[in-house]
Amino acid sequence: MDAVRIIEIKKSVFEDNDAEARKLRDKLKNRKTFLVNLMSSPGSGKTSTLKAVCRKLKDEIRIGIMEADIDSAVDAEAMAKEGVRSIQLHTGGMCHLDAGMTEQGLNEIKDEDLDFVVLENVGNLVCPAEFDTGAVKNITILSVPEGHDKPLKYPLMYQVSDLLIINKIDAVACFDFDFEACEKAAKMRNPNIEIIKISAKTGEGVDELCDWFRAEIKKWNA
Amino acid sequence: MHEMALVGSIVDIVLSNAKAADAKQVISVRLRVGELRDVVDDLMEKCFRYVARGTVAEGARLEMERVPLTICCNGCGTTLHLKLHTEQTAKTVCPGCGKSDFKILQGNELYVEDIEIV
Repeated sequence: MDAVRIIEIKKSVFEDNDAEARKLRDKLKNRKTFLVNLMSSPGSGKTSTLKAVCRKLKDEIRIGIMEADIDSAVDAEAMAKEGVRSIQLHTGGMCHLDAGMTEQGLNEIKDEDLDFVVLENVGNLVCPAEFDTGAVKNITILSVPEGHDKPLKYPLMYQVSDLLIINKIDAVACFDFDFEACEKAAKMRNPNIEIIKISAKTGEGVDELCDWFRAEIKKWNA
Repeated sequence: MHEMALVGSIVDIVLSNAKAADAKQVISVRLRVGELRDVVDDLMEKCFRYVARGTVAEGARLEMERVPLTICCNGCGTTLHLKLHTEQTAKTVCPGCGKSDFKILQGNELYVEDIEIV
């Protein structure tokens, strides 16, 4: 009978993806492409926010949008109507994107002549947080109707996010959304998280968000 | 949901190491899973059984060792273990200095620790 042997491995399951993500970020730095990974649950307003931002920025910054969904081209078509280069990634049933898929998307959208690319991740508060896409910054949108307790319920998503956009602030009269509690909870998950409140519908706060993007793009290209 | 994606990577790691060690059969796979990882044991086992079919890892036992969430106070260096799903971690206050500013020491990992082979 063969002897049983223990083979020590000690390898992180995310190691390969993490390494790919790091390499991708280096390439993006050389190409001066600022990539953000935009996450949220379905219906928070990722696409609406992107439309509002693109309307203000597209004449001064070359923007590309990569839409990721399980199916349909609804979002990519909506962005194309805004006059912004956009592609649709179908995830084939996968609930998140990783660095490899992101790089494939960048090759398809041809980011070399773009300054700013947004990866609109699959609407999901759990899985996307686990995988580094190679983006420079991670952004989470939380909308007022969803409630202020999401940073308590989905710790990893808020832990990995650099910016929290609180959207649909125009609806605050209809809901019991406690901004202070939400901000406190988000900062418990990530003390460095920045927070911007907007309404993609009315435009409130969108200028502040655009200024954030302008400043981050400038820092990335420095 | 993403257990399948994770298991894909796990089986790749297991098979490449099993091949390097000239294994005929993988008996068990030991994982270290941080408490912050959204991983459901039952789903991991089912996905693993499915993905490992037809390989030397077919039938291998998946053992998941949970690593508790350990945080360190940025103010005074006190370390704490937290139970993520039972305690209100957002209200955690350092017993040493009273601040609520922590960094995570452990709890984020997902490692293939070792495999038992013949």
